[in-house]
Order: sequence, then C-alpha cells, then structure tokens
Amino acid sequence: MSTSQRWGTRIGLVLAVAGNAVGLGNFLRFPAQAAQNGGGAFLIPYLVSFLLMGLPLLWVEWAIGRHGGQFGHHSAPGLLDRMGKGRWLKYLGVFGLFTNLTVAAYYCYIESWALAYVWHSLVGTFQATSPTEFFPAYLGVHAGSLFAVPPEALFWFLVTLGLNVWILSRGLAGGIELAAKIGMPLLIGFGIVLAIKGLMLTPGDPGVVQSAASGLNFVWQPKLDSLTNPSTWLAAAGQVFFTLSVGTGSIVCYAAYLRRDEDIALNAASAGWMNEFVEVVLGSAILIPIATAYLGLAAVTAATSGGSGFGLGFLTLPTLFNNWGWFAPIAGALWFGLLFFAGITSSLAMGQPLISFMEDEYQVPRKRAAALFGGLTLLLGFFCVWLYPGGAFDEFDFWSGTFALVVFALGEAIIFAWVFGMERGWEEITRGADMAVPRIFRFVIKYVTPAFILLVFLGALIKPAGGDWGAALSGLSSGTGWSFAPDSVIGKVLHTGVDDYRWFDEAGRATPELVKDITRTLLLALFAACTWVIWYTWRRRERKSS
Amino acid sequence: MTTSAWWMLGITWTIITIITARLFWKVLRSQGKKSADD
Repeated sequence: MSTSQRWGTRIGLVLAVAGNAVGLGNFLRFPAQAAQNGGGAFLIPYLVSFLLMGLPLLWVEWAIGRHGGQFGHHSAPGLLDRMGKGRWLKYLGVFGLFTNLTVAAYYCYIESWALAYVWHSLVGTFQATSPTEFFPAYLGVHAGSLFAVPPEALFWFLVTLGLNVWILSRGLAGGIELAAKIGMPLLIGFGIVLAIKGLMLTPGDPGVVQSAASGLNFVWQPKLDSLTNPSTWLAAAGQVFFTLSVGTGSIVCYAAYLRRDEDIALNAASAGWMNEFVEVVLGSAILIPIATAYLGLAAVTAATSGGSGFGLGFLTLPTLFNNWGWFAPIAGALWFGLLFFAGITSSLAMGQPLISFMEDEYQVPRKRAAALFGGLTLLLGFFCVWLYPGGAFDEFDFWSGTFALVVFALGEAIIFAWVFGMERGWEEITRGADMAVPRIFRFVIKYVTPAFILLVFLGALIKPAGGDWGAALSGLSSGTGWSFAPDSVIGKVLHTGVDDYRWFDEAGRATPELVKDITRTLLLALFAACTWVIWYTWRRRERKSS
Repeated sequence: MTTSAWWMLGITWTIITIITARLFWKVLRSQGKKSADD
C-alpha cells in the first residue's frame, strides 16, 4: 500500500519534481513570451516573480505535502484536511484531483504528438511532406467541421497513455523515479546538442538567411521601457507560475512520500532552479535562434506575436531541419524527443495524485489505480480529440490548465500562512533542511506570495481588451467602462468577442459556441463529481472510525 | 548581438547555471552522506 512507498533516492526525487516542472512550455512558450514582453528586460520581473512567488510556493507545497504525509495522506484533499480544523479544507483539495485529471487528458494528447513526430522525423516524413500539410491531416481537421476522429493521432495517444499507465503502475522508485532519471539527462543532453548546432548557424550555411545570433538577440535585447507596462509583469508572473507546475496538486503528492525529518528546503530549491536552467538557458537557445536563421527575424517576430512558439515548434522546425542533410532526421528526433521527455515527466506527476487517493482511501492496488487513471484520461482525452476542431481542447486548457491552477495555489498559500500559521509553517519548511532558508522568506510567504498570486488571479479574471491595462484604467476613470479581453475569465464567461452567439447556424449545424458550452458543462460536472467523491469518502471514513 | 543583449544573457545564464549547479551539487553530496549513514 502507498504508506509503505518511499522515494528510492534523493536525486531521483529531485529529478522527478524537476521533470514535473519542465514541460513543453519551457521550450515553446518561454522564448516567445520573453521576446514579446521586453526581451532581456523580461528576465527582471521573471526572476523577481520566481523569488517572491515561485520559490516560496514550492516550499509551501513541499511543506504541505510532507506534513500531511505523516498522517497517511498522499493526495490534496487529505493533505489540506490536515492543515487546520475546518471541514472545508479538504474541499479545496478537490482541485488537486480535478486539475490533474483534466489537464492530463489534453496534455497526454500533445505529448503523443511529440512521440508521433519523433517517429515521422526518423522515417523521413517531413522530407517529403510539409508539417503545415501533415499536422491538420494528422489531427483530422477538415474545414467547416467541428469533429475529428483521426486514426493515427488516436493510435499515438493510446501508445502514450499506455506508456504512462505502465510507468505509473511500477510505483514511485521503480516507475516515476526511473523515468525521471532516464528522461531528464536525455532531455538536457538533447537540448545542449540542438543549442550548439543551432547557434553555430551563420549566413553562408545552406538555407541560412540570418545568423542564429540575431534570434538570440531578439530574445535577449533588453527593452527597458517595457518594465513600466503592467502586462510585462503579469506575463512574467504567469510564466513563472505555469512553468513550475505549482497549483496542480502534484508537488504536494510527491512530497507526501517523504519522512518527517527529510529535507524539503534544498530539494524544492534544487528542483525549482533546475527548471529555470532548462527554461532560461536551453529554452532560449534553440527554437527562436534556429527559426530566425532560416526564416529571418520578421517572420519569427510575426510567428511569436501571440506569445507562443507552438507553431514554430511543430509546423516550422521539422522543415528547417531538412537543411541539416544527413543529420535532419536525428535533429527532428532530438527536438521532439526532448519535447516528449518534457511532457511525460509532467504527465506522470498528473497521474500519481489519483493513484495515491485510490490507494489511501479505498485500498485499490496500484496497478488497478494506474489503469483507472488511464481509463479516465482516455475518456476525457477522447472528448478533446473528437472535438478538437470545435475548440474543446482550448477550453480544457483555459479552465483546468490556467484558471483552476491559480485558484488552488491562492488557496494553498493562504491556508499555509494564515490557517496553518507561519510559526508552524516556518518550522515545517526548515525542519531537516540541508540549506539555510533566509528568514526574509517568512515575511514573503505570509504576505508577498499570496498577494502575488492574487495579482495573477486578477490579471486572468479581468484582463482588459488588447492587454492594455493603462488604456483600460484610464477608460475606467473617464467613465467609458472596462472592456474585457476575450481570453479573460469574465470575457470567456460572457462570450466576449463572439459577434453571433448561438448554438446552431441557419443550416442547423452545431457552432463552436455549442462545443464550448458543452465542454464547460462537462468540466463543471466533473468538478461536482470530484467534490461528491470527497464528501462520500470522508463520510465513509467517519462512519468507519465511529 | 548587441552589447546590452550579451550582458543580459551573460549575467542571467551565469547566475542561473551557478545556482542550479551549486544546489544540485549539495543534493548529490548529501545523498552520498545519507547512503554512508544508512
């Protein structure tokens, strides 16, 4: 049973937590965010956010996990229940199950794309077919249709899920830890090879129109005036928040398998900084420099204008690798292999909380619990695959992968500092510590970190149209009101930006708005179901003990 | 690359690499100690 499970080695634990944090966003999102939000100047609010919000939140989550683990809990509801006397505490932990399950559904799908691309790179598909033609066909996207049943994408999705379930069923030390010990060094190794090869590109090489250094300059040229723009700070805080995988309920779960006096301060800091190394050093040195070398700066600027490098990574890079001759298939396999390892070490962390919950509360054997995770992920994932063209995937990403995370993290930070109490909290963080945690963090964790997360939350809730906070605030003071961005939480709820809101068109065909509303209803129903499960579980537990 | 971009990149990469290496080295060293104790 889970209570007897422990991590095999400390290195394995740190690599597993770092692997949880390192995801596709480190390579695809960070460089685009930095380039579009002040270049090198972006790193100032980014590192400030890391020190005042990211790192403290890591310590908080590790402390919550190790504390609750001593009472036999290993998933968020039970771990939060042990933070105070309130019966409501465990219900905040519902997020720790709901978020992991729903994010895993679409995240494993993206992960499976990376695995499929490794295969197609090796067999030379992209030497004959452009990824811009390949990708829509692979996803089964047809103009005008909201549905897709793509056989190949489903095949790779099943392979990926099978791999996740198999690794999870092997347990902490023999499964997750081993996968991290293999995956993380390979990921870093692949990244270094690609970065060196990419940064050596100069005009004169076949197909190169601009030096790769111009791309590096695009990411790093500091535009200091951007520091006065609130959007830059919110973008930096958001990037730090999402890159560390905080607020998901997976870190608290991993930390729950530690002994009472085992270090958490150094483990958390080490895993957090390792994520920063992969993101800032490797993440900025591959995608944009290589793309700039072959496409030129203007095209890369346009391609990353939305703050994401996803299109460059999946649609452009495979073609550009063709300029590398015999090395092209290997380069493609390294790039997508790197993304796959980044993905799988994260999706494993999404599976563990449900397994822990089933083991702790219902004594379900690990293999069966892993299969349950696989089955639920397949069901929800199929929904994303099937309704991908209609926008179901994006809805999952927004409500689970963005909004729910921030709500949960805000709750955790407040409960830790104000319900559990900073006196006990500080003792929890520093007990058995193999590094001296500066005392200033006691103040930071109590006041600054919750305030920082609250700002990220408000930023997502009321983001103004065009992301222009200055114009929105002046509009508010001049009486013209506040116009919400379509991708703000309120904008989403109000269907802002949708000119013609209806579920069916004149021909009686479903519209994307119907898909969005069905997806939101599904997510709400799932959240309600998770809440009921927690209520039922605790009632059952109380009856047993009385 | 411009000088300011080089400075920004150089300083950031150096700080992050040194801190990461130091912390990871501490983890490695303490793991060795723990194994010896066990």
